[in-house]
Amino acid sequence: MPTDPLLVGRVIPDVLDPFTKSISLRVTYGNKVVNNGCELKPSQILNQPRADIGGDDLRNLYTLVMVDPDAPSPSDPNLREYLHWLVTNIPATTGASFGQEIVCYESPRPTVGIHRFVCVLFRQRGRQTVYAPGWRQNFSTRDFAEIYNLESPVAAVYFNAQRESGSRGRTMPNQNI
Amino acid sequence: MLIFKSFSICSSPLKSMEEMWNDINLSSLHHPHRSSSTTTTAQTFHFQDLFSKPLLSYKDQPPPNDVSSAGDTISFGFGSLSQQRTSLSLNSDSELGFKFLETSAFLVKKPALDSPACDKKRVQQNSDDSSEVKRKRLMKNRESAARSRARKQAYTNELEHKVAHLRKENARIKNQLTQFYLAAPTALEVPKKRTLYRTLTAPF
Repeated sequence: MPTDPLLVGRVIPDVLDPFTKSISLRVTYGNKVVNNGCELKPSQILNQPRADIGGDDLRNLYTLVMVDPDAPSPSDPNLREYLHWLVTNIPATTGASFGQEIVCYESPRPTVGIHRFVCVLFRQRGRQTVYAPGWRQNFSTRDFAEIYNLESPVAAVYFNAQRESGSRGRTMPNQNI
Repeated sequence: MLIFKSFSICSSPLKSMEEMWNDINLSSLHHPHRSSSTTTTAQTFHFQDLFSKPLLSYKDQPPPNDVSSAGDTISFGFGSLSQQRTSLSLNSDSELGFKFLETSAFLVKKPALDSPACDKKRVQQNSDDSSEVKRKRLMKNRESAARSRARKQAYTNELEHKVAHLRKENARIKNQLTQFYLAAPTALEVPKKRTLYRTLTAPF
């Protein structure tokens, strides 16, 4: 579909190759469900979201990856992709909290520009052991999928986020306390 | 076309004529006559120059790997022909002739920033820098605007898809519901709630 938000938003091809969605993925921050291309504030995405996946067979396991392809800034993404979260062995019909957190959730803190944050779901061929990369930056979702023998993604969703309050950001008190 | 013909004189080629043609077609080689009108710098290599000056010896040149196309800048592997003074011999026993064609198929499109300085260049450099900065700024702004439009469009598309999906779902469920009503009209009736009511049991 030429109007696929993932295509229009350039998630394909910046992070992913074209794929066919085959399972539902619902990412929720608090009570806000993530729709492709919606904008969230850093204060809303401080803590890890709920990630509910569909399917019907509990024996099928999935891997969830969340990356920022626009790190440190969309006009010069030399740290693409920045890995924010990595969870494996999530059984179908459950959520990320039932899986194994390989890389813990790091709340996005975009400083320059409007960043995209992409959540990708892969189907695993079986239970597998995944090793955390040495660092979060310059992660490659494509390479990761290849290394761990994951097939094409089965679902993906992305949202946008920018620095909380423009130029006032520096003078405002730390909101993370 | 005449130019290519002269190369075919070389004997014992490493590759066949067909391969040579393919290489040329694959490269973004401009028609020799056009190349002269698109260039503005001293670094431009004209195909005709091959025959007007002594040709460079292939052995003195860096390997063909140096010819790379980065983005829209295609640089000539040999560097600036006009400034190098080695001689190239195109002899019949060397298959280099064909390799030369292969690597020489690229023309310089943009002046390299680390080019050897000559007076004319230095004077231009300063004004080039500021215009370069301006151009970069313009490009960045354009890209940013494009991203902004894409962002807007992507969200709109998502919402439109969602709306369409929800409408369909709605219609489907309503349809299902009406079918249930038709199939078993009594099954859906809620049993009447029993409420307390007064009654007279004794006559007093």
